[in-house]
Amino acid sequence: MARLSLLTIDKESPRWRSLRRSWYRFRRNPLSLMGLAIVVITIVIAVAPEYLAPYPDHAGYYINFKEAKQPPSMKHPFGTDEYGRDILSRVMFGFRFSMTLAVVVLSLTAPTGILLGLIAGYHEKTWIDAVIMRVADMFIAVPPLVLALSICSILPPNIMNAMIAVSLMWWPWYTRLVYNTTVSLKNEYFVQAAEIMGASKFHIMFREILPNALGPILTKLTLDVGWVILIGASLSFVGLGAQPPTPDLGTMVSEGSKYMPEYWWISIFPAMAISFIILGFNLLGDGIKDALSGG
Amino acid sequence: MILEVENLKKYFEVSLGTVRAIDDISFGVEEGETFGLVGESGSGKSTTGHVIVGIYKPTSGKILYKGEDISVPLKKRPIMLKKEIQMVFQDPRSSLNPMQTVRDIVELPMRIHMKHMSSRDREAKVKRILEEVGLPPEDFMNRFPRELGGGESQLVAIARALASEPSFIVLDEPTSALDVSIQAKIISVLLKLQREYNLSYLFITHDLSLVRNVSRRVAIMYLGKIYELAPTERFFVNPLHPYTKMLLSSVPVLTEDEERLKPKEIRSTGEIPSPMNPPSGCRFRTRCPLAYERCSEVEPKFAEVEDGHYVACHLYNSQS
Amino acid sequence: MPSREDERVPLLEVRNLKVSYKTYRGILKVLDGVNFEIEKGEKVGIIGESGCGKTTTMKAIMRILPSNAIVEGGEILYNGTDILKMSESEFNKIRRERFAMIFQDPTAALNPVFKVGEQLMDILRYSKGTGKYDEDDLKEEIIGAFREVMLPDPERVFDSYPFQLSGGMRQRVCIALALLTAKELLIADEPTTNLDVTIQDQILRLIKDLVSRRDLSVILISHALGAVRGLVDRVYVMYAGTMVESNEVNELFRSPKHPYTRALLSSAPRLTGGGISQGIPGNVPDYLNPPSGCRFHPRCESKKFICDIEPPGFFSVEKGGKVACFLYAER
Repeated sequence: MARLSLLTIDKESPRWRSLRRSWYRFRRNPLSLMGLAIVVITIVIAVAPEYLAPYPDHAGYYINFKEAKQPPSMKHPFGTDEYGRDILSRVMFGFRFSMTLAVVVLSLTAPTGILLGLIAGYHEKTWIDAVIMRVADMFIAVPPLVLALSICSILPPNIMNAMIAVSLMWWPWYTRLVYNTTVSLKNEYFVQAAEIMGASKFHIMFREILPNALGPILTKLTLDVGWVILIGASLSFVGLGAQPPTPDLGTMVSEGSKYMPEYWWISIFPAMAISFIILGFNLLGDGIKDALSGG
Repeated sequence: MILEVENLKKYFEVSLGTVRAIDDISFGVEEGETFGLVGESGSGKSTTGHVIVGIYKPTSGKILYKGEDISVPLKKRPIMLKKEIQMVFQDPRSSLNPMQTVRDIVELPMRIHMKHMSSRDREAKVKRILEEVGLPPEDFMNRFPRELGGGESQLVAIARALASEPSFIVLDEPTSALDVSIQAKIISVLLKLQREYNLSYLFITHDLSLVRNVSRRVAIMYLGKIYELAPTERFFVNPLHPYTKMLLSSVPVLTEDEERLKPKEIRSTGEIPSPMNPPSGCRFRTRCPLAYERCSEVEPKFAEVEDGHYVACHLYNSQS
Repeated sequence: MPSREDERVPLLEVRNLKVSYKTYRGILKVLDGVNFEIEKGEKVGIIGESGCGKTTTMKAIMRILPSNAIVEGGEILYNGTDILKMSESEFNKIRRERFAMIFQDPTAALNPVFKVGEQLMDILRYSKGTGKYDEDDLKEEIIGAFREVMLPDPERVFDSYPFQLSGGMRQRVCIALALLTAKELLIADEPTTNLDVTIQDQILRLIKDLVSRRDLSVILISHALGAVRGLVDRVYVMYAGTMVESNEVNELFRSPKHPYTRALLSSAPRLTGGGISQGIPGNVPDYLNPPSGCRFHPRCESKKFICDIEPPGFFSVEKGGKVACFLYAER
């Protein structure tokens, strides 16, 4: 039970104060800070690779067989690939692709999944619950990669369709998470109090229940970035995602695998980049979870 | 009577059978009075509060509020009713939304029922109510529930209950989780508010000493039935039902005077049976030292024995 | 009643015990010089509201304080020897063979995945010290103890899992266990708080009966004021990490001396009616920055100039009582 002095409470808005407190807790864990740093770096690279990459045009059609398959050097810190393209630059552009994938997929699936889970959970044991959750169950039952692959085999293989495929199997996880949280929160006294005083269903779902479900949702979102990128990379690896010459980390790993182990840098650096991003988001997600659940 | 309950029953179907939480009870609360509802676990007292407030739908029987039949659950009740009847819960901590400030929490009933009020009006009213319950607004308005102590949380819950200007409040063990000195503060606030706004309280508790000091009339429940109902003084000075006597004799007291008030002839024995399988006839018979054959065969009728004093016991109701 | 010779050295004496907790917000100076003692065969109650440090004191005695607790000073003398200075193994022997504790929550005290009988046999074996014990003998002892605590059908209870028993029965099992293993000292921390009133009464009467037959020393902790009354001879009142008053139990309730005790008792509702006070003004102190001098002074209506400068020691009053308040300094 914390007692704050009058002075600190007076001057600032309570939500800001609460955010600051969460930040202090977050800051205490060096791993969380590392995660945050990695994520920030990733976003910066993803947003402006044109300005950061040493050879931006290597991301498009560029062929220079004289420089092909060069090992890492001062000129090309990550070496060059089989077409002579600078791998560092291509990795940077690859960040953009991965982050775009993650942002698009999650901004489609998370709100939909959350909304459905909230509605289903609040209407527990009615037909609404049954319909929503059984549909979600159906999508979950299919192994993700299989679903993605089958969709990609029907539709022409490109980025757009890859994203559709990934989205379709992603939303039910949010629905489930929010459903479970909603069902347990529904029976809390403060929700009952709101019902007793006549609050509308909308208010109860969105102003009473949802804010208290945000913690797990936020954590899941950050961890999901890593997962979406990985799935996207897997799709690209089997040739169903980005098409050449678009630099995508998964494609780069896949193409480069042909040249292992002598020209190891062609695959390894993109693979490390994937790990880097996933690590960053995982650490950030854990950090957020700890900071919020600190209470 | 502001609230009347007639032959109310509430059964719950669970996987192992039927729980007869409330099994035909009738009583009424007068306007402006505190009616104490006392019982141990399994008595059904909390369920009674929940049914009255609308969280559960009655299995049968009637609830009348200001003469009108309101025996339906919340979703079927008119909005006006939700302004009039409020509830204060047992656990102050979980009755407040952790993500909302005290101001948000107390303001909510006004947003629902007093839509004509502007944001500034609401803020002024929140400040006034917080002052009335003894929480200085400047200090408390912007706090989150985790920054409140147990007693303070409960005062916020009471402030919230007041915000819609209700007439009837169900208090479900409002101080059971609190220390004695904090309980005293909460009770004094409740009584003060009652006098000022002519509020009617249904005060549910297991603490007999407490109910002696707050209620005008008391009813005692055991396994879903009311076994005695009387004006407070009569209930404590002249208890009739054997269960009442057993409960009174078990109360931990502090002074010799209180000891003397406790019935000596009946001491507590046995365990409370499960509400899924209550004893036949009178449910208390398995622990009653005065039980005889009739008690297992026929359920005793709940009847008036003296003015305002009701008992359900074969010892007193010759024709039941 | 203990004889004069036994009273020479109290069974347990806590002297000026200071315990703090390290938290990320800072150091919580909880116990600020706790003094209390219990003679052999005596029954002592400790009453106080939540957060006053009663459980911390008991954990310090049983040496089961959490890892972030620091014993800043003081001694706990058991028959004259400071147990805080003993080695882990030395104290372990005393603790398992001579002490027993009943916890507040019987559900948490029993392991849910083992049958009751199995668990108790293990604990009983351990408490008897090294040596081989016949299983049937142990079982008989346990069943006998179950009978003493009036558990219906003791054999069946022995073979049950904790979840198959009611709360009252579980607490009775814990009491039976405590009685089997307590040779000298029984500490009961809110043993009946979560139980119904009628069951509470039965259990307290039971404890009283069993304790008197065995001549055990008992420390009973409760925040429910009346619960200690029937069971103990002497009561200590605790507030914010210190003992503020101690007296013979009936005398304390009849004539409380310390301003806190008086305010506390006037807040308690009486079965005889008469209303209750409005509580105690102010709040319990923050252990991060506790008040100087007497920790109750910010809330005390009789505060004098010295109260925030010096903490009061225990002053004697009539009938063997002691009060930690300067109002009683002259006597």
